[in-house]
Amino acid sequence: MTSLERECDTFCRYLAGVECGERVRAKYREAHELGVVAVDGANTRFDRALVAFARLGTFSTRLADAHARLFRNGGLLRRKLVLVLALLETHADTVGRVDAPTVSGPAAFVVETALRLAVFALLALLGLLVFLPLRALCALGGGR
Amino acid sequence: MSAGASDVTIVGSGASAVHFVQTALDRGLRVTMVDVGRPRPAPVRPDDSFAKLKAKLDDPWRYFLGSRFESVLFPGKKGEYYGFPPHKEYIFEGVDDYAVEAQGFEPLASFARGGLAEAWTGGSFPFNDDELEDFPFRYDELGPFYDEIARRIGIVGADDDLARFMPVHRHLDAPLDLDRHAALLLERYAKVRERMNADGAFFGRSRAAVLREDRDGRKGCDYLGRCLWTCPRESLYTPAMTLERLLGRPGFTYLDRRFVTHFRFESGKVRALAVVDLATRRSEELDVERLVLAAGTLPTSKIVLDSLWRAKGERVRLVGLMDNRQTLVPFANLKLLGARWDPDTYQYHQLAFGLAGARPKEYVHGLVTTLKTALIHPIALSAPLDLATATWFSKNVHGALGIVNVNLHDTRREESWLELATGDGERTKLVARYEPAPSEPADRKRALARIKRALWQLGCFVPPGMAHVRPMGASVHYSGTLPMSTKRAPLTVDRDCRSHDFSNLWIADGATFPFLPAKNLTFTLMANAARIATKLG
Repeated sequence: MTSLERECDTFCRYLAGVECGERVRAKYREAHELGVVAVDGANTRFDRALVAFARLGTFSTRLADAHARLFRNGGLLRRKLVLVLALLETHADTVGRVDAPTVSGPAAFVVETALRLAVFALLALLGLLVFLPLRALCALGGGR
Repeated sequence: MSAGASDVTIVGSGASAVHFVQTALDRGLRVTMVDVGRPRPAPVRPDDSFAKLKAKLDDPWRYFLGSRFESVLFPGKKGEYYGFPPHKEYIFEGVDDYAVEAQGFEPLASFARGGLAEAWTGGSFPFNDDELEDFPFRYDELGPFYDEIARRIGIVGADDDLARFMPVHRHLDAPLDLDRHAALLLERYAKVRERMNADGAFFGRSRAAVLREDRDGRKGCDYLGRCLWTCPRESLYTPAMTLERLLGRPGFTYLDRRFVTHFRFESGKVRALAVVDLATRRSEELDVERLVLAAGTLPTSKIVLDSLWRAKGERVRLVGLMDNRQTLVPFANLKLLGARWDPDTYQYHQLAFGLAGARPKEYVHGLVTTLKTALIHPIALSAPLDLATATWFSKNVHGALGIVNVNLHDTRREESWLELATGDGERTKLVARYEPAPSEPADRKRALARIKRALWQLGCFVPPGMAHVRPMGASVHYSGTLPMSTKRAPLTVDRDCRSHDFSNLWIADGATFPFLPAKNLTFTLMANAARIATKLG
């Protein structure tokens, strides 16, 4: 399995809780080959560092994504994750993982939303500690 | 070259054009239609529902996201709350000969068979007498043509609280079955009706050009959930369906793959139409007896401007460009949070709001769509959360989600106009400038507050900061540049849309509208075109 395919698997597990099949991996590769992911302005040294960090596992992906959503929304990592979500939601085998309700009513929804928002806030704070120095290092390194 | 010895030559194949032609043919006239006419791709697996397509297509990603993933809405990409299906891209594909430079306006044009209305969501809302105040005729003159168009294309709706804003015409078929979310909203309205009405807010069934039962080779709606993805049963009407049926009629000639640049005139009369054959790139002239321009407000205006410039070197300005400002307001129904949803339902607007304006013609219209088969990634990525949390959130609110498309009216103003830019050689460019009315931001804010209040009364919540003001041009309700006028003035048309400048020229599209209510104008375009065709001498 190539590093791109492993990356796709990690991002699938992060978003849907399952490994993606071979066909999703193939589509992920195809999108990269067509150049629709790493476009100009979304592929800086810091973007690549965030992706490399995210590849380490689903927790790393979540931490990097929380930071990227707030401070690097149009960057490489967010583009890759959105692509994976789009691939997952357009096939019958995976759509249920990303587009079928999991809570059992409004009250459960409110409680779980509050918990998830709190987790997101913590991750965003932790992300600042991890990624601000990384960003500074990338900037010091110069170039793109 | 003669245009097939026709009585009438018409440019364009959109909503206005096809109904003009149908009426003209019914009257025994011979008609030639000149059009670029890009055909629609054949529908895939026409009997499968939206959900089944994801299981049965060999490459569902190609169908839903495009061969170059062009329908993936990446962060930062300027977009809406749902992506545009890749197989519909042909509708807005340009031609090299047509260029527009715009400011304050994002214009769309179509060179597809059926024109811009191939992307129509079927909203069929007749103008009432208040909204026709600036037109040189009243509802009683236009009404019979609404009846006729409804008979031809099939329109569903109900005589309910919204009838105060939309006259009830003949041949209005019973509405389609509501999905669970829409049914819940209507039930709730019955309970809070008096309170909402006291605030000038009314709610009811939308009107849509869709068939309940099989008719004229089209199938009745079978709730496949594919409205956004092109109805494979032709239940949801588009003008290409009428064109398809016109092709077999005697007296009708269809010249496609032709781009019209201008017309040539002498002594106040159009003599010939200049066209480029897009297959051979050869320019040719078609002699015309009577010319009808129905290419859509922008292309029609460009043809007129080009014709004047080429004949006299004149660069004139067409003032009064109008379009409806639209704001998309997403909402969640609190009762349906975490609820399961059924994708096999009608997808476009089933319900609508009507907000009474300070003056009757300043009515505000809101179309309610209870989204089911739109892709969710554009919604998930717009939430200010990491994507896993946003995906969890969107899948649990999907059944509760809806969008109101709030429309404001527009008026003709000097500051919004079209001109021609000329350079070296024959190539010209349309220049569009749009300046909103000074009161528009305040009107928009007020309308948004009223819609939010009404939604709250219906048990729905609008997430803060999620309302999206669409750019001018996005509603594609362009109009007003060659208006109807009872006074004989240059660059206007008479009450029957006959040019005041050229005795054998008619304008049959939105360019002639002197006012734009807060309503989709397509139904009125078709009715007015049919009306004009009965007046042709």
